[in-house]
Amino acid sequence: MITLRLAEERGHADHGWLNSYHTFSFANYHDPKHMGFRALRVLNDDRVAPGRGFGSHGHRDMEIISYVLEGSLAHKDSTGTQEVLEANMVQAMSAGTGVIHSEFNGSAKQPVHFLQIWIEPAEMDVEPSYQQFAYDPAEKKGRLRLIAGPDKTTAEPAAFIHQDARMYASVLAAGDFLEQPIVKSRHAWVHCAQGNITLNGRALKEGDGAAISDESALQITGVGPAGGEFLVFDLA
Amino acid sequence: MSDNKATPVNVVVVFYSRYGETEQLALAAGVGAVQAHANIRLRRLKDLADPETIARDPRWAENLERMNRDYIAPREIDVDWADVILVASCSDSLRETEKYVEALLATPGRNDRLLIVPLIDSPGDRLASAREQARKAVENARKLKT
Repeated sequence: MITLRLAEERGHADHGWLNSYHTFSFANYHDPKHMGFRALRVLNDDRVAPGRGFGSHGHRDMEIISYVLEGSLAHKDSTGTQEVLEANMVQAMSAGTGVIHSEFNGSAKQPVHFLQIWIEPAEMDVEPSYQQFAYDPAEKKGRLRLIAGPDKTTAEPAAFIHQDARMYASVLAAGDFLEQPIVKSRHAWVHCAQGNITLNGRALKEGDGAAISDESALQITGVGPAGGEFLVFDLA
Repeated sequence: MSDNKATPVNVVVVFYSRYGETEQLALAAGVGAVQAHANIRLRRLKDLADPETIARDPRWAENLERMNRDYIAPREIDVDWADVILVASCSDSLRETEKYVEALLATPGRNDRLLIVPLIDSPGDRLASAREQARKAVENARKLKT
């Protein structure tokens, strides 16, 4: 079963400095029918004006992943971390017992476009931690590139999260195809980040999502003119 | 424990800082409040000094520019939202926080359950102490609410 979550039906908040679309309930957007999917709790599609950002605020017991599509994001937190994140880099923060952090557009001229993802942890009260890594964009072309998961060791660098969930990124050129089997009884979420794809024959444009349950495989094709960039979540 | 966590406690950490030291104390208190399962807001009080005085002190001006990006000043809706206001004062000037707390106490119709807790900048591990003070304040507020 595939249930589409269309981009235009998402929650939306335009604060001027921040233009945010919420796939699931977040902040002032609350819809009991869209409180998340399995352990995936938040998927925000954010554009932040140059020099602006989110002032210091707290988090607890949440795995927070930032995926930059364009521009740069400057991060600072109470674990002492201070980093700048750009496209083809990933940041993951385990809030655990509690962190305070701020995120600002790292550029005074260019807007930043990024996805913020919250995954509920299986384990509460873990020691707060921060991870960041860069990867070669070629690694996500035509295949699923693991971004975050529960495995302590992975073939490619990936963020460790405290949940039985995996997040992958991929870019498919127009006409390119990939197939990913789904382990029986597991679920998936697909989010089209940019461009166009088809998922098991259904069209997804930028901002569209899909909940997938009781399916044996994902069949994804890049659609013209430019293909698409998307995230796949493998969820218990 | 789970019953405790179910009672939401809202904490506003109000601080005045010039060079970032009191800001660190406020951030530590914020972490302590988050650790105690509170919702938090961090708010920096505006300087009472005039802009010329600040401009003559580059370290102050530099930190001010940074903090102005990161924090807004406390608003009335923050006070309405709060169960606890933790106040961190700057050793270089107490006037900002004193004035704020005086005005807060003088506000008619203010929630009389609101806890106003001054943070004590203790010798030793001042950040650990601030975290602990915040945790205790959250626990006290939670007791009052249940």
